[in-house]
Amino acid sequence: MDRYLSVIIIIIFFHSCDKYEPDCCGTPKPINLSYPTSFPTPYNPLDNPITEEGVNLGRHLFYDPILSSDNTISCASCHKQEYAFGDNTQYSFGVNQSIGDRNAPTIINAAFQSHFDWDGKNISLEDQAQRPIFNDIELHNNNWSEVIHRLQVSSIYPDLFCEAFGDELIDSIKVLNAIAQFERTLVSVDSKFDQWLRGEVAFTESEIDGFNIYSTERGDCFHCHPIGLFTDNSFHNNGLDAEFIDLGRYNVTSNPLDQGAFKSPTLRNIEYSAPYMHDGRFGTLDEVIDFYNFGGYDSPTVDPLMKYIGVGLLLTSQEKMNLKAFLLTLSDESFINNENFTNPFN
Amino acid sequence: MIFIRKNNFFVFLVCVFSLSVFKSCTESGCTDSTAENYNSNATEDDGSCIVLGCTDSSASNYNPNATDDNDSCIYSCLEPEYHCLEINFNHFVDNQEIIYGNNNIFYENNAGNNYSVRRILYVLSDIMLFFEDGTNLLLDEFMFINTDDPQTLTQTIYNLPALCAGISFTFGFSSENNNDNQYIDAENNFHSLMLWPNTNGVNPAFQGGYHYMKLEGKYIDLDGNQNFYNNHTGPTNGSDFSFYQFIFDFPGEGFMGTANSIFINMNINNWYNDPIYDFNIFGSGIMDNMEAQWNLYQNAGDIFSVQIN
Repeated sequence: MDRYLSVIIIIIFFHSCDKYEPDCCGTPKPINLSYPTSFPTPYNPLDNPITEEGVNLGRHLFYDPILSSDNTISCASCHKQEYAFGDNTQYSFGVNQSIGDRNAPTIINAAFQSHFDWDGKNISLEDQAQRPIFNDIELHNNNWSEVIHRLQVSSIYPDLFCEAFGDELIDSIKVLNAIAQFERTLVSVDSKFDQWLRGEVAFTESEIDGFNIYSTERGDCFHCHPIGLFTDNSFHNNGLDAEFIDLGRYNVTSNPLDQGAFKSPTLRNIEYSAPYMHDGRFGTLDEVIDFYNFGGYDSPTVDPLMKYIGVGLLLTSQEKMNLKAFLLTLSDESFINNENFTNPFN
Repeated sequence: MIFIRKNNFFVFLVCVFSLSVFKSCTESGCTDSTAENYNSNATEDDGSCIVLGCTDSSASNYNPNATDDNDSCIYSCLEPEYHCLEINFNHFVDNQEIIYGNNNIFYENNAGNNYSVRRILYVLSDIMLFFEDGTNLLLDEFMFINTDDPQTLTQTIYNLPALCAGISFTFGFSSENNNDNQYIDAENNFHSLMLWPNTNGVNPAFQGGYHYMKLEGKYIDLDGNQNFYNNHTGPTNGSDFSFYQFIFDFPGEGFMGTANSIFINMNINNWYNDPIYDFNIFGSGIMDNMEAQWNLYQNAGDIFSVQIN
């Protein structure tokens, strides 16, 4: 009798623990981001603190096509680590070979920024993560129910959600929170420029002259791409066109002065993130520098910071090379190759 | 009890272990996600939540969930025992209200330049308020005004001890208050928009800190062409071109007026009057031009006027 009872108790115990595994009950371990003094305090919502387990879940979700309606496209399909979490094509493909209409932006130091996407329509990483999930030309889902169902019946996600959030219940908020946590860890602070500022390496003459062009009104790159994050978190019409196909920030604000304005992207890791501009029109850094050296096109909303329109920067060939040499110092190989950011399914 | 009485110690251990596992799956802690000590794993609230906020129920931002007061209470300006000062920032060219836009080139300065105004961003610091009872208060915070950001055009100072009778401020930052990354977490994207580059010794004009002002638009040059101007002032070569604005006594009947709402008006044309500032001489960008910075500094004395609302 005793033996039977003990067996029953053991069965009950193990059955119960299917739901209450020790990992599930463990406290997720918090992560504190490291960053230089030229970075602002990261945005870290009180209700979504970064934890090792949350980041691990977010990393899986980021790389897993399970979030797309036909299991073919993941976040990483358009935001590839080797391209600074951007894409190397002008426009990226979504479900059913749908093609986008803007170049996939990079995801670098997103924890320190306040607006996302080229037009800044999203003001948190949690909000931003939701948009592509239901976009017809991206992950193409109809509703959260179908997404959650796929995660619930998968072999790995109930456990990963359990570890990250303390229970197996999978909901949309946890999905978005986990992806946002992973994206907040994508910090790039170890480029040659950072090392130079820290006194660890020397710049060449060419790089110094390029930095001087960059950070003075000679080239006037710094106003839209200030030293530190190398983005001003703001929106500018940089004179790409005299007339606009894509109205950019105006689509969000309805302010006529915002027509043709787009968010200044960070120039960190610019070497890896070609093609350039919101529509990926420039394939190389040389083309970008040539465009600014030309000066750009006037229009009623072009930013006055583009003060050489009609005249151009008048940089010599050597100065253009020097400016490019400086821009290449913003490359951070440790970011591009960071194993904490790679595909966990490989 | 049956098992123990039957001396089945193994079964007893299983029971104890099971209970301990079930117990460990219930974690006590703070379950309020807005609390400072929120524990996302807590399944039972143990009453330990620390929520910072205003705990005074008479304040306009009273937070009934707050457990610890963080000195954030704001009291209505209509309450007789609390005073406020609402400051509305307006910008004119002489008596014309500005219509912002590159191509609105219908303003004219003393040099005969026709120009437009696209935007103005600037800083007022060392703000001191003077009260009707003769006391004064130096504010800790600076004010950032950005015509592209309407919420910066009206700013209210709460919880003042008496009605205001005057104000003084510094246009820009004095040198001791203008250091690299000093205001990196300031509101309204201030740091990114107003940073003055630090070139790490490469170019002496750019030693870090912040712009005082970014005034931008277009002008017509001597050949009739439209050009952009960027009147960006700041600590060129590490110099201090900030300008102390003497006390504005609020106008009123008798010796002294008081107010809880004022207008601070900037007349753009006064930047260019005395000495005359000519866009054709100074060109589009002036951040490394000491002469241009000095010219604008000399013009700063009559840029502002104050009106009671």
